[in-house]
Amino acid sequence: MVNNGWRYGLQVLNYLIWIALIGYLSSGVSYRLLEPNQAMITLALTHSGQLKGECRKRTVEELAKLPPNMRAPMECPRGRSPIEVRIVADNQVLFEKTLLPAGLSGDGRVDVYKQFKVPSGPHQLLMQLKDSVKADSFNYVREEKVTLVPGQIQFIEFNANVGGFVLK
Amino acid sequence: MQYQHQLLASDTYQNTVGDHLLKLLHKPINHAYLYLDKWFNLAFGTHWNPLYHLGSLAIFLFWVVLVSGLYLFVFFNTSILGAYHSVEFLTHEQWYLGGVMRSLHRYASDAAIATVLLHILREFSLDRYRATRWFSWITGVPTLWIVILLGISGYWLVWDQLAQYIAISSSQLMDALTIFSSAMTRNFLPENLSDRFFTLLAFLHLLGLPVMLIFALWIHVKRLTKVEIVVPRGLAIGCFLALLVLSLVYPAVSHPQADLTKAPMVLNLDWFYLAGFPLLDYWAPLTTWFLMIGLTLLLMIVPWLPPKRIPASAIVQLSHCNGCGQCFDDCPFDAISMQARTDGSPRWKREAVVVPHLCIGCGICVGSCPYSNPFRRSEVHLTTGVDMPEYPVHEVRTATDKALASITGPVKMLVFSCSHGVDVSDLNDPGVGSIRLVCTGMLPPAFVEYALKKGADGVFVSGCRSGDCFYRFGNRWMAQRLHGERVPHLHARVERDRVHVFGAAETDKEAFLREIAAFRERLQKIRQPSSEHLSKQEEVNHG
Repeated sequence: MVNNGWRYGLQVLNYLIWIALIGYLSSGVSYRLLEPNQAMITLALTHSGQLKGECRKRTVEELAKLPPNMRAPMECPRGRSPIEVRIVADNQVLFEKTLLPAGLSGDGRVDVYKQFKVPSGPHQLLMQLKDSVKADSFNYVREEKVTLVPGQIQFIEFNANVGGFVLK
Repeated sequence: MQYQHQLLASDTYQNTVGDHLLKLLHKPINHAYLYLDKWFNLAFGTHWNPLYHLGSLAIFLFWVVLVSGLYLFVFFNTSILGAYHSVEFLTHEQWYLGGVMRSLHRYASDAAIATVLLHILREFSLDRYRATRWFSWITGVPTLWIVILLGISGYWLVWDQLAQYIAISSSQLMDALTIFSSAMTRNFLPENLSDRFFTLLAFLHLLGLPVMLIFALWIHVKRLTKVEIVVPRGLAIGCFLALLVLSLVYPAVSHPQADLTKAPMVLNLDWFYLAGFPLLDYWAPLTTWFLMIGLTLLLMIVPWLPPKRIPASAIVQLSHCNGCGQCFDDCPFDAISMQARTDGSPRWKREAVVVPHLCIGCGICVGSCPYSNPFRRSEVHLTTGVDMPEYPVHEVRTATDKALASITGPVKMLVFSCSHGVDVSDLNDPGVGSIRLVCTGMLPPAFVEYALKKGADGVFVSGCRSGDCFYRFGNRWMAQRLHGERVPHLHARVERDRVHVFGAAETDKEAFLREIAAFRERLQKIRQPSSEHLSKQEEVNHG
């Protein structure tokens, strides 16, 4: 049998092991997200593609058949074009994808949030986007040279109202 | 050759392929626990052994988290700009109280999830999650997720670089489900960050998830009786002091403040709660979802994986039930209720009713029934108030008679053991007869007296290790009955020196044999009084 002194001593030993494990796993083990010479490019894009079909003006007869509250003069198809996005850094493709519009009717927005680890320093960025099935090639293109310091996040956003790709 | 009778529980391993595979899976973990138990029993004693109180220990740690969290909330600023500075104030300016509270909050949360994981692993390895126990197991799975979400949401509130990493990673995970009208990650673009989202998160952490956790815990233990939610005081004090020491020696601190224009380079992750996040750096969010959902589903179906367990449910023999309610008091799984008499008996008002789908087949109710008395020879077939169809008391009495008749040698011992403790089937000792019951809680105390009267020199009752009964209370109720602390009592006229209670797990065979040898020696002394004692008696006889 173990006497009480030894027993309390063993308890203290057990508690010490326990708190050492807790302390170690709680904040003692580090995780490296970026190497010291790395930066990050984040593509944060939200955009609605252009309508797939053309809008058409309704005739007077067609309008008369509709309930009064639904007599919109133009009839437009709901479906929107998929969006093709291509991001290239220093001739290396970071992202290239055709994104389908959200929603059951394919009339929603496209949301993308992607992070890419890149070496810090200067980079030549080529950003391309096509948002219409009618367009033959990318209808939004921007090329830009950026210089990133370690740990910096270079955001690539998109706003058609200000001409397309926005760098922040 | 000595007689051995085995009344095995249907939830022990049978001789099927499924059982063998399951045993292969359970045994290594089970044995690791048994050795750890032994070590902790040495240090803490069975009453304070933390492995025997993992559930109540987790609840105690949640109390520490709650009280420390309430203190932190008083000083916490729930705005995106104020959150970090309020936590920094607590950590550095008010380190002697706020800082300690913060550290206690974190470390108690870590200890809680570690305890919960040990609890899950232990119940799994001891096969205590199937048959009627599926309910506690399956309700434990969402409870585990609530605890994890509580921990993760807590790390957001500090709004340091770690919070930034978790917030963006969690949002990417949520966005993969495409259930929101706009992407959650857009909340974390530098110009979009607002207090609104942050306040919602604070609400979830401070109120929503804790309320859900309390509700989930209540459901988790719904099918158990006498739930021990209070940890033994000595263990609680020890745990609290240990966490306090850790908080003082190694206080919890924040990373630099979140800056959405900069990426965190190195983070000290809390691996208890955040171990899954690095996966998102390598896997697509949907793949991570598949893994999480897959693991959750696997955990949830575990109780129904083959081999199937269908425990034999207890049956009430109304003609022998006087409605005393002892079985109702003793059932650990809430499978017995007392209801108004249905047989029109003018003598008794209530009767015991067994709910078959809640009954685990432990037979503890048989041990508690006053009618489970082997001396009742008026009935050829011994009938009791509540009985196990596969292991009726009549069979136990027959087995006792046969075992007693088979024992030879100068000291005759009868061992009553249980299906989940040490295996006594290979004793090969002519002086020892054994009867293996489902649980020692099934043993009516009158059987001990019966065995002694019928020729045994001693009765040895070997259940699971003290404090860790497979059926929760079987060995405790049995010991209390034999010590006269719980009805039905072992009759006062029975010499207590001739009865020995021992707790032995599967790995305690050597200790069990030593205990048997010591008991035999004791019985020998009782049978052959010492020469000193004899000479004193002679002196008395000769005046």
